[in-house]
Amino acid sequence: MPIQILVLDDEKIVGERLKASLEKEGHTLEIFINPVAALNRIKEKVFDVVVTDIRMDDVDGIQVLEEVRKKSQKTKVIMITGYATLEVARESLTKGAFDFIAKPFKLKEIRGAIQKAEDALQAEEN
Amino acid sequence: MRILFAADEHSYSTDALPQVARLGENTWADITLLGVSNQSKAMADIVNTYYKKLSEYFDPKLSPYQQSRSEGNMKTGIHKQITTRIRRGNPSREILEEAKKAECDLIVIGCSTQKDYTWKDAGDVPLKVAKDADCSVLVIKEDKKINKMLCCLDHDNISQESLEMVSQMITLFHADLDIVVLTDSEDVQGKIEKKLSWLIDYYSTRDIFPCIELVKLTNLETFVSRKVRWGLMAMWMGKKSILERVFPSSKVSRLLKANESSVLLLR
Repeated sequence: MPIQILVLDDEKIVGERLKASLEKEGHTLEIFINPVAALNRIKEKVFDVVVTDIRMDDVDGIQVLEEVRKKSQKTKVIMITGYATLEVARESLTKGAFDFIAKPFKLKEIRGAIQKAEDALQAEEN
Repeated sequence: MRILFAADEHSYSTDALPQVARLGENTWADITLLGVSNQSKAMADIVNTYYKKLSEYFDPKLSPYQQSRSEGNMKTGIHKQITTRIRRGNPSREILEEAKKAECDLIVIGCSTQKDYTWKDAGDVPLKVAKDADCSVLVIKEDKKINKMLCCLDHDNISQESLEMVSQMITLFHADLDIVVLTDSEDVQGKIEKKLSWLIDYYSTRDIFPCIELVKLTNLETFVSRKVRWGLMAMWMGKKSILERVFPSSKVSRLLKANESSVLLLR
């Protein structure tokens, strides 16, 4: 099932890696490196999956998660971080993140998380 | 992140478990607990004990390894796996194969607390794994607090994964980062200096401010034995590493022997 995915990471390379791989699978991707622009887009549109970095300038991933939750309970949010701490991991969980992935990760790991999100969305529809 | 913890039945493997738990707790990595032994029944019991001990570190209500909320007929929540595996045969070969199969990002392995990096009944398994793994390897000598991470930079070809691994370790241990630049290699000096400047920029934009030390290759062993007593030594090992060329017979082993702390080999 093709899904709508928003990817936000201030490191350009993360979005580029995901774009090539996920578009091949038929998904539609919107890539952002600017968190403010991504937040504006999240307010406009309901995505099936949002993949967001946690530590960024101006806006952090937890704020993105909260904004997504305000807009839609359905959207699955996958948090990624290069600076994993127990506090952030737990906050992500309690605020309803779908998955939490620490860098370094292999593409397969993110693809696996997106596949799980897709399965969950499908199960919720049925 | 995917972590492989490779263990035998000795106390240094048990002593390495808290670091595996800390890593898992912070990064919510999928963890494989691997025991290698020709007596697979005994090893299965040991690995099960490690599994129980590891599980005890995590808060059942907030752990991704045990937690799973039910909403309607859907199980939601972040859920990660702790998998146990037993392999028979040559320990270092089996560990490397399992790491490759599980596509691990990090192998964690304990070793004896003497100056050599060995397993009691199987010789230099940790050293062989450290030398030959495709991913980064954390060799734990004993479970002690790490205040400083000392990274030896000797070549300019370093991976994004290794940079991210350093950031995670610094965050995990609340440690300071020292980058040690080896100064004897004129052929690659220009490239290393360029890489160093890039590394300083890379980490400072991430609020990590490394301290830089210049060390002659000939003084490296003394420097390491003096500086890393309360830290974690990290080395970027790869095909272009000078250390690989300087220590061709034993590669990392000679340098590791000068060091009493845990070691992270970055790839």
